[in-house]
Amino acid sequence: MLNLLLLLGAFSGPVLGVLRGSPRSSSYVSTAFTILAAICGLLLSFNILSAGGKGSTTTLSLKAPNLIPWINFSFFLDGLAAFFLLIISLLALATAIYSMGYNKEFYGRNVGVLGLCMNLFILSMIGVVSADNALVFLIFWEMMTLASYFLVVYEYEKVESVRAGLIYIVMAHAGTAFIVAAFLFLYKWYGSFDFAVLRASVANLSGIPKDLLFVLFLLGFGVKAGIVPLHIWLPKAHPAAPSSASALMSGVMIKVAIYGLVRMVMDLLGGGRVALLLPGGATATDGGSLWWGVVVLAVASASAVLGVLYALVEHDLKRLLAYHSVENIGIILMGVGASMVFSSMGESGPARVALVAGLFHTLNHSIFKGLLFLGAGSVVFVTHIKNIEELGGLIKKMPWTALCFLVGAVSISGLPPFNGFVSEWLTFQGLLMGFGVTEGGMRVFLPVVAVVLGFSSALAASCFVKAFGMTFLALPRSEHARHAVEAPLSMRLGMGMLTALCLLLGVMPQYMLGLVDGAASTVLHTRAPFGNSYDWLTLVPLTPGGASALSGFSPQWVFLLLLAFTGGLLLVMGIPYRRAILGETWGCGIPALVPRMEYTATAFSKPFMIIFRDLYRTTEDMEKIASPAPLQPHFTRIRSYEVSVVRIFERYFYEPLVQVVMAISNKMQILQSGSIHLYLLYIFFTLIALILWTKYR
Amino acid sequence: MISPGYSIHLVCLLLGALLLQGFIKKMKARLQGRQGPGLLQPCYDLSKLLKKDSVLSEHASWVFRFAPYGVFVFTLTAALFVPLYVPLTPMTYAGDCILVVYLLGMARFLQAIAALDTGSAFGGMGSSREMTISSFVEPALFMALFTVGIQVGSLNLSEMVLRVSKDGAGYLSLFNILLGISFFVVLIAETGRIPVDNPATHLELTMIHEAMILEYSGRALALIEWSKALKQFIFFALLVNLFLPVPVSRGEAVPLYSLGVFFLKLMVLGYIIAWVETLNAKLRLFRIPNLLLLSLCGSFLALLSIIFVR
Repeated sequence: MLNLLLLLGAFSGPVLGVLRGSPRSSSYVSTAFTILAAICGLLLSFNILSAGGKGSTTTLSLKAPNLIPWINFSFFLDGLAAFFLLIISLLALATAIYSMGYNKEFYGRNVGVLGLCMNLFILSMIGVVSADNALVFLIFWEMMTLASYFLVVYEYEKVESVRAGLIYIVMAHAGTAFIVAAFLFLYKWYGSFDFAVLRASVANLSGIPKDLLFVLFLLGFGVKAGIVPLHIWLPKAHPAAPSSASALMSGVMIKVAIYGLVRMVMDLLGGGRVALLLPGGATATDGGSLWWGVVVLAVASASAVLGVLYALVEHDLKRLLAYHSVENIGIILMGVGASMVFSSMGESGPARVALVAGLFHTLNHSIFKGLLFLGAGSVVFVTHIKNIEELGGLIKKMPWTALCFLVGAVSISGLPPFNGFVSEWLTFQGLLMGFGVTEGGMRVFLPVVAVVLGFSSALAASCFVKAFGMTFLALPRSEHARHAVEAPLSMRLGMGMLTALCLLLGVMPQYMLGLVDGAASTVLHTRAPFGNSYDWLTLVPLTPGGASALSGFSPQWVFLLLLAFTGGLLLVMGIPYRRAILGETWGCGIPALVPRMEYTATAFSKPFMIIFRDLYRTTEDMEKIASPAPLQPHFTRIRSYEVSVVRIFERYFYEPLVQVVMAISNKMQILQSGSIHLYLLYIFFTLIALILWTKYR
Repeated sequence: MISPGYSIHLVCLLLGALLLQGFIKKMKARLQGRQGPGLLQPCYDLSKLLKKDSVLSEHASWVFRFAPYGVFVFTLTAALFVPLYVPLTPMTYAGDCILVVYLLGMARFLQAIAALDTGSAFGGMGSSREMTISSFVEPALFMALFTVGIQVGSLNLSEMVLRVSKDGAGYLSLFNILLGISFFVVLIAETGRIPVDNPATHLELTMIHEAMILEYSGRALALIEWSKALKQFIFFALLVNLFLPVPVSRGEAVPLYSLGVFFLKLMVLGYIIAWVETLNAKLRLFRIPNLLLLSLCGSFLALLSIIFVR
């Protein structure tokens, strides 16, 4: 009963979102409701998760028999849904606190609409994860797309926002079409939209129809999650929205797509159902096939590497972060894909470890990506600059924002002692466990995926050295950056909350991992519970047989060691540079260091551009000035240097596709004369044709 | 945690790192027909630096000031997980090889952002190059470590060393020798040796690590130099323990025999490094990924042969 109340509380978001009144009051009212909803959501998800995800679930059934007789508006929260509700609520809480200050940016506009869209957006995401019925799921899914679309085009006078919005909404609907198709197939075969009914029925399905459903779901949710090559909307749409919305889109919305994928493919289609081992080594699976997991792993590897490679040459702070979302979705899907592989082979232990790794990284990525977007938002809020080439030196003006951003940057690079490391470590374990339980080609494939994970996280570290260094360190490169001030308290609080969580989940992940384990077990339906899991001091994801390549790791010991050494060092050597002589940075003998002499972001990423030139297909554009006669031509001076990168998926896949679509539309224009009589005639003929078709079919 | 064995481990780590540095310098000088500084020169340098005043750039922030502490702490923590003369270490069961690589990664991250902090173009140059190279080192390193781990059945370094030393010469199959060579390439890149980086250079346009630390002085510089020596020691210890197996005792007391064997192996490897540094010229920056790719392929071949040949 308490759970029900809390669920209703969580849905209370959009009430009073729009207020005609002062922008301040409408901003405060909408954020207050978000905070209320988020707290209800947090309590509810903890209620369900702490009970192990299994025993306590919440069902809410609203029937509207007179209005729409065949739909049962039912909601259901099991461990998995509760876990995603936790993610949504957590981020909603942080962004709501942050928005109280951040919304000042938009006081000249209609802040009420921003608040309404944000709250509708949060509500629809809660709806998606708690839906127990395909139609309800789709309704909220669509609502989520529309609410976020309005957030993307919130600054509608900017051409790029509108363009980004267009690409976003077209891609999102193409994705939704695949999901709708999958549900329609299911409805046609089993006559129901209820997940419970479908789950029971699909078990009998096998072969090509099941594979078809998998492909449809993967494509449909893949668009929203931003997997390569369906990611092109993501780096455009996420940066265009206000930063609080970007944090929710990158931090949460793409995770809702992961929820969809896990729910539909692993739970509904049984891709996560652990196969039974028959005598003689054969497996009887009513779940997924091995190749599903392999496809997911391949897509994940491509997303992880390409996402970060494009981020490396990106100098728009928010777009850089958006590309990192593509990378991290790849890392999440590595865990999920490995889990699918193991499930189809009947290995419950490794399947569980891999899924826990994937889900835990989902949570961690929400936290640090939300944090980074909020940090970027603060920078833009203060300086109105997104290009990191024009920033710099902000650490002295905005020390708190800089510290928060640094923690986010370290976490997303997967470095200890922060949360990103724990989930990447678990993903490594999950992937390498495969060696003990698989055969032949898979034994090569899984370690290679693990190495790809190592590669992408090393590249991410490079990228964040650049992003943090160019934005916050050295000298300011523009007038705006020089006059920056620290962000307001509420914004710092929102960021600070997520920063603390990054450290907390990196040092004490065991409690949360226990909850994640409960969420994973609701999907896997493992028959043999996975023993020796996560005690409070050490993480040892050992399979009972102990046959796999495994090891333990104790975040607490490592953290204590770090603390002890730091303390010891401070004791012995004191505060660094306390008695130092101040001097200038050496500028090769030129008297004063000016920002022009600093290394730039373009220069920083130049080695990568040269090494990966076949991927980037860079073109350079230099404007040269002729020097006076005796120096010419040996001392040409360069006034401007521009380097551009060709995004191969857009150039070689989407642009031709758009051209084809446009050509067909041009041909179709013949039908569109503008005369209403003609249109009526079309309708009439279509009607006749349909009647005849149903009659003589 | 405080037992004589572990204190000796720590001393061996902190001093051994400096001695190894001195030994390589000495060998290099000898190979080039010079007399060279004494073995203890790095220790003298360090104690001198620790006593000196420091100059701080006025553009630097706390990142620059605290980074050397961070670099040292993360490197030292990583070093505690690496077996030296006995397979066990003070922190054996609190972490595995992934943790070691990522702790070193954190040290490098701090070093790289600190290099950007003063606004010097050299810092940026060094930082950019270091991160570029490390992005290629890490997959090669992981491939090598995972291939060992897969054979042993654990990613824990102590377990690995234990198994390898138990197998002794039997472990040295053809593909493990290939793996060892691949790891050697990784070692050269990670320790900043020729042909990847030149530790002795102060030539503006070729330096990598030196460019990053150009603005440091006094105690901070001492800590950074010490961390660098420690990191070198870690990789040397890993290579000799994983790829030059000699049966060692598991005992809790200090086994003088295995200590001697360990340092003998380090000296052999140090001599090889000095020899490689003398005979080679530094590679162009953009040829380094090829070298590391070669190492990655070597480890991958070893993995394939373990799976399909055995």
